[in-house]
Amino acid sequence: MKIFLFFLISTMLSISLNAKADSGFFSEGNGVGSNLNFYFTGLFSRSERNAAQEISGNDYSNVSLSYRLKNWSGLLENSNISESSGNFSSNMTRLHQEWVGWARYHFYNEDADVYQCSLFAGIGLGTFQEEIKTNLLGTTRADKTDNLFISGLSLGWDGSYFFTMNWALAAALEVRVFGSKEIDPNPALDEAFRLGIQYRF
Amino acid sequence: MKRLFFNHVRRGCHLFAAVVSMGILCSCSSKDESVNSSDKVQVLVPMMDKSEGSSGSYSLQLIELLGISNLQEVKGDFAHFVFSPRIKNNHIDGEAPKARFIKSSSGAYIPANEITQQMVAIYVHLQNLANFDKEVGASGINVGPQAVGIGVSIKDGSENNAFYDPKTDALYFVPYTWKGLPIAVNGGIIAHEHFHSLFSKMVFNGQKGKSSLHDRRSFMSIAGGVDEANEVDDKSRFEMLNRRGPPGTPEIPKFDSKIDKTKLENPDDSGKEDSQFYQDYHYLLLSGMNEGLADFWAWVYSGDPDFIAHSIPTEKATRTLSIKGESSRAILPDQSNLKRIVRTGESYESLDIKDYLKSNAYLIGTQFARAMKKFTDVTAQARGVSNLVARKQVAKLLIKTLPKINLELSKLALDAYYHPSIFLNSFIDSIPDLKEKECLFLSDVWNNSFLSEHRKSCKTQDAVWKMISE
Repeated sequence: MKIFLFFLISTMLSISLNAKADSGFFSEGNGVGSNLNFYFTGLFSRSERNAAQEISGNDYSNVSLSYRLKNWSGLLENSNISESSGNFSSNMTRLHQEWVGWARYHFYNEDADVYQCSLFAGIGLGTFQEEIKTNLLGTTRADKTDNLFISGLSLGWDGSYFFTMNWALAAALEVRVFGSKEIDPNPALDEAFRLGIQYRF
Repeated sequence: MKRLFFNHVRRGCHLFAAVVSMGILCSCSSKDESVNSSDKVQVLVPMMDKSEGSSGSYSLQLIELLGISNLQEVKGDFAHFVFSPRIKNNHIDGEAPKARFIKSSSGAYIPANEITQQMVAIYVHLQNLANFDKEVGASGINVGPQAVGIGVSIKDGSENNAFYDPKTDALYFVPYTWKGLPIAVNGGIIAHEHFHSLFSKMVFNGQKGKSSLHDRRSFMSIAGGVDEANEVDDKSRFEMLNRRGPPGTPEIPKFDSKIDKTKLENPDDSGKEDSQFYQDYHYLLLSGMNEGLADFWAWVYSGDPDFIAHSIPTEKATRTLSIKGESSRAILPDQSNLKRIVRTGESYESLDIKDYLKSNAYLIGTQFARAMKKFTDVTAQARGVSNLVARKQVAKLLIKTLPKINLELSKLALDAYYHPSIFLNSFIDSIPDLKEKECLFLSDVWNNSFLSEHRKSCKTQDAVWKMISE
């Protein structure tokens, strides 16, 4: 899996950097210009090991802000995962708080009057912290980790539909893979569907 | 010029992509599973407060896991875990569960989910019980890490239980669905199950099939159904399970539902008892002793006479070791009572005799547990020691007694019965320096329990108290 991702991303980056076409795949993105996206909602799911010891999707919340200039964009996202287990007398809640910054290259662009969309690949680096609140017979105790390192690779599609000259509804669909020594499984597969608004400069 | 510039940019991006990809790959390594023996591993565990006067309360404590070799599987010198296990070739089989921790800023490992908390709690209690075994003379009985099945799935959907299986020499914990303290976290219940492993090995020489009463039958039936290659072996194992008598008992004849009801009126008429009755009697007594002494061991370990109520509140009244008032007189079951119970069960043609004996065995067992507990209280008074010290002293005596039960059982003639009075004699023989109060208590127990036996009284002989027949 890791070797495959390495070659996939390297190949895609190499192809994209050698691109010559002016529209569609490997276009220079002049038509896109620059824009700012605020994704405030969506559906997000990350693979984690569940109580039955199976790897399954764990839903979480996410907000993000991205800025795009021609073929490149940067995205900063905040994710929160909360998971509880146990019973009335003995239970714990795990809170995962994460900040990741992404650098993405949009290697396919489509640009029309009322819509834009693109395919992109990205690399992310970030940090997360986890807190466990343990409750036993009415007494609660909270413990936190230090800030921990996390990294990721992404492949996705984003699009926007303009309802004014500058404002658009924005959406993005991504498949990501996150890596960190502190997560299980490692690497972890992640799917994100973002919804938000875009302002085009 | 422009082309040259973009060539440089392209090469730089390639290099950057390679470096970042390598960084990502480096972080994509498996969680560090191994722990050096010198590493101190402290975990947060719900534990009993063991100080005097605080029995029954639990709190979150940081405890060091000893002998841990793999923290992600909570595997080490004292336990290894199997998730949702099967039985394969008479061994527990399955994958080890993956624990999930966070490492707090102070360096302690905090369980991040219920199953991890249960794994560390069981490990901590087993490590404590292993150390306790050493202190009371039971070291070497259990060898190697204890196999523990968690998330055990039973065909009849049983929940809220735990049991020890001598065949696989493993502990099994089924899911806990009630609101109380989970069984896998209840130190008293873990000690109770651990005692079954000692009883099985020391009384039955680890003979297969001589299990505790908990729902092992259902678990074994699904295990037998899974492994088709061993179907024949599983059938014979079930037959062995049915053979509930002491070592050397002949094969059980086909159960005859047309029992002579006059036997109910003459329970001591042993001349007309068949081998089925003989085996049912010993199943009742030995299972009762196993359960009762296991409850006593749980109290010795936890200091809590109501240890079971935290998890199974419905059992509090019947299984409490703390009794007051008129019923505080400690008595053991008499052989006539035991025979009467068996005859009553056999007189009902439609009754499931096994379930009937099982439920009565717990009642029998509680008598043993309460008597042993009261004796411990008397010991503390007689010797001027704390309750904690007295518990350890009496635990040592019980460990000395268990092989004597084995010896007495093996000496029994085929038609001879093992009586509770034989157990009491063996226990008294294990006490090298009987004190007066202890002797008086034990003679009271004898005289109140065994009405058909010679009465006993206490006498000093060379400054040592002895119990003698009147």
